[in-house]
Amino acid sequence: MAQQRDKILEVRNLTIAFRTQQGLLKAVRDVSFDLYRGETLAIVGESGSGKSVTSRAIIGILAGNSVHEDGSIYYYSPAVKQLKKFQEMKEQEGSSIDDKQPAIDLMSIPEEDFHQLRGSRISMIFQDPMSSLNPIMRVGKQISEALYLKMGVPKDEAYARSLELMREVGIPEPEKRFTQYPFQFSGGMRQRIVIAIALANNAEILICDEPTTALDVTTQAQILELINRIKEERNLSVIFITHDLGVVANMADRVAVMYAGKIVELGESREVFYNPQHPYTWALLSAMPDLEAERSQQKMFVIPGTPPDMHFPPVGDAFAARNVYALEIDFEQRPPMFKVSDTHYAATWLLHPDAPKVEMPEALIERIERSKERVKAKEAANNE
Amino acid sequence: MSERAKALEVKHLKQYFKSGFGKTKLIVRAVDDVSFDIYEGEVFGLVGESGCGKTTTGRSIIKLYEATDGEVFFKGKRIGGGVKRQKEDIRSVKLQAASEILACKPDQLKEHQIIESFKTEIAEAKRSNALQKAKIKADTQDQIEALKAKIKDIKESGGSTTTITEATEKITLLKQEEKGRILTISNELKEIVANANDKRIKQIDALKQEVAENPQKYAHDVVKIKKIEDTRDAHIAEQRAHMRDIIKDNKFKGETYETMKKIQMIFQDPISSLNPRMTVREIIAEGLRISGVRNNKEIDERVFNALNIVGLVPEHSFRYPHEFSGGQRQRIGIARALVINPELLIADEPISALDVSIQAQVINLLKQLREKLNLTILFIAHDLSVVKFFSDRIGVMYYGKLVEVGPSDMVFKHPLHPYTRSLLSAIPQPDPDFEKIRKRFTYNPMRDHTYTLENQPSFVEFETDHYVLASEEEIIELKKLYQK
Repeated sequence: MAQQRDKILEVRNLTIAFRTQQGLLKAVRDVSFDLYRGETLAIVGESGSGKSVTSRAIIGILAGNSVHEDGSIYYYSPAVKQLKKFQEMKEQEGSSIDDKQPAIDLMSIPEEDFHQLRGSRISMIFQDPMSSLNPIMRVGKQISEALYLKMGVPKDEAYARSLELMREVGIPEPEKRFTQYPFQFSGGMRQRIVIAIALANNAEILICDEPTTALDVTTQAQILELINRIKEERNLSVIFITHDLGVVANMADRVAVMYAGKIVELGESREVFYNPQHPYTWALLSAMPDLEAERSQQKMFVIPGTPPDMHFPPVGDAFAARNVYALEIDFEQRPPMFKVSDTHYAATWLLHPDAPKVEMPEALIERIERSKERVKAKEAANNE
Repeated sequence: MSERAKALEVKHLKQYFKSGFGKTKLIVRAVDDVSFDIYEGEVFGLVGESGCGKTTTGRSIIKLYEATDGEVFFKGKRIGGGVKRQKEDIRSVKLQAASEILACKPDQLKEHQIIESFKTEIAEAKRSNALQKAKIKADTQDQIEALKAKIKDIKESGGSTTTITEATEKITLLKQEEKGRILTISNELKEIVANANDKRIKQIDALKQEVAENPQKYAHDVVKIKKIEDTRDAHIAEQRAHMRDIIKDNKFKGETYETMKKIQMIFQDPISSLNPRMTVREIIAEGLRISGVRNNKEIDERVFNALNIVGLVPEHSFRYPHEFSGGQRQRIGIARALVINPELLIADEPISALDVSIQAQVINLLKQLREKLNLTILFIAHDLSVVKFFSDRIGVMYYGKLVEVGPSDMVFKHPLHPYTRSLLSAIPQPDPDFEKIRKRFTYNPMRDHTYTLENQPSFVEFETDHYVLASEEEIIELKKLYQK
């Protein structure tokens, strides 16, 4: 099913490092994934796992000390035809470029070309809405600026379109709100403004970098509903970065779990949540407090140790040192992506045919069983 | 439950913030009449959305703010409070007593009545005068508008100039007429006021004469007045003494100071709550120095001990905060609180800024500490799943009011208040199939409650230890709902 869908982004063997005083910090190591039109891909991981760096590479805003070591990000869209680089390539190679499915490697295009994509075709929402808005500029201007600077829309039309956008993201009384400053908005409303700016230019890809971490549960729920609604309406492709697995379950069609700069598990949402394969995914799921369970005095599950220092990434599986199920080979060789199903892959030696059979922790099995029962019960109740 | 010793008692705590003067004056009721108890050795979770006053409650308890009203007791000793209630009480008692005393002085009472009726008469006259004026102005305005429209019509249709001149003259006339009428009614008002004033002076003169003629009838009831004055003074003295007590207890001196040391706080952001230019040892030892420990050897010993308790090593004590990860920094924050040997810890969102796996570490650490050091913890957070796991009892706040208090399992199993239900329904869970069918309730006080002036909600015990802010009707409905 996934193969037939329209691919919009193809990340292949992306490797990015940062020059620091201590040497090269390997932030992203050999990451590959696809993004299809109209789907939400969630990237989950701890801070420092490289999830933000990956997304920043896609939108081309990596810090100055970054080193692109390897890999490419292919962007499939008719929009790339306007790019200078694309035209050059076409002239050079002639017929070798497919005009029907134009694609370009985002890592190779110059900054001038990126101006045409960033903000207009690929947009991003950041974690803290207060620091991503300009505090001394009226919010209306910040939205309409995106229109007349990028698209050359006349100012009066930009005003009308901004009001429309504000209405679309659910801001009441947009005419009045247009002339207000960011500090006059609540956290949730500010995040709505940021979303309106990101959507101003009919973006195809929306990258959400922990958009709800700074918000509380009720506001978070509203913002997630808004992003889902807009995604449906505009057929957006969303890359959703978070460390909250609850939010992932709500939003994602597919999930990529990242650890120490690598994707350790990639699959459809149901596969990753109900049939997790990598010990790190097990650990993450177990570390979530369970709302359904009776409150007992037992300890909350803790992942022992700390993430590795990425100046000296471990040779084998990066999670091996914190993993009770680690095999000897985990410390020596990097595990490849083993195929679990057509859409589900995991990088752990436990999936090798020769590996000893290891079941996921019992508490987690129990929890998954329980949640399945709960869903059944709820569905039955809803049908009645 | 009552046999358990109370560690902290919060009674009718109010915290108002004022801003601006005159028209722009704004009073924010951040915490509005909140009462709860925390038992010894228990973890009390305080939840609610941002801006609901949960942090303010914590800060008022530890006296980072001066409370507006209410009292806070720690282990039976009052550590703080506000005096708004007493001030208001004194004012109302004074007013009450003044009117009672007036009733005992017949001559003054009558004079008072005369003056009052004079005042109402004048106020009435002024009001009707203003209405008349407005009516006259509106009438004239209407007529002038009509004439102007007429002139415009004539001009457009090219009518005769004489009609236009006539109309213009009429407008001038109307304006003059208006002036005249307003002057007349102004004069009328002046007359009414003068008459009323004369009447008042005459009445008062007559009253004075009458009082002079029969002093017996108008004698003051001295005994009763004395009695009223005495009760008033006693009451005021009592309230003033109470106020003095509270104000005295509010100062960081003597016994209060010693008690306050037993309460310590952990903050949300482990980056901004640690001074980047101090070493870990200086940060942790600061509290010790302030409380009078001068001996370096003792300070070192206690700092190292605190570091050990939170799972760090003494070598860490000479480093700076930026050298630590987020989880370790939060541990430093906890060590800083623990070095004073507190009995109550106020943890203000200690894990909100941390990653999921680190959150579990910090929560487990707090859990261990609580058992090892027999700590009582006030745990302020907005993440309900962690609160449920960690707290024995939970209080749910909504816009300055506590809407539900109860044991953690009960609150999650039978959420009573609609706001609690909406909070619970908003938590996303790591379960994609469930997420697809999860329905979120929204809470809208205007829609969900039908409170009237007579039917105000009160804090009711719905089942053992489980309280909810609800009106009587709502309680009946809830009982029906949970009997099933």
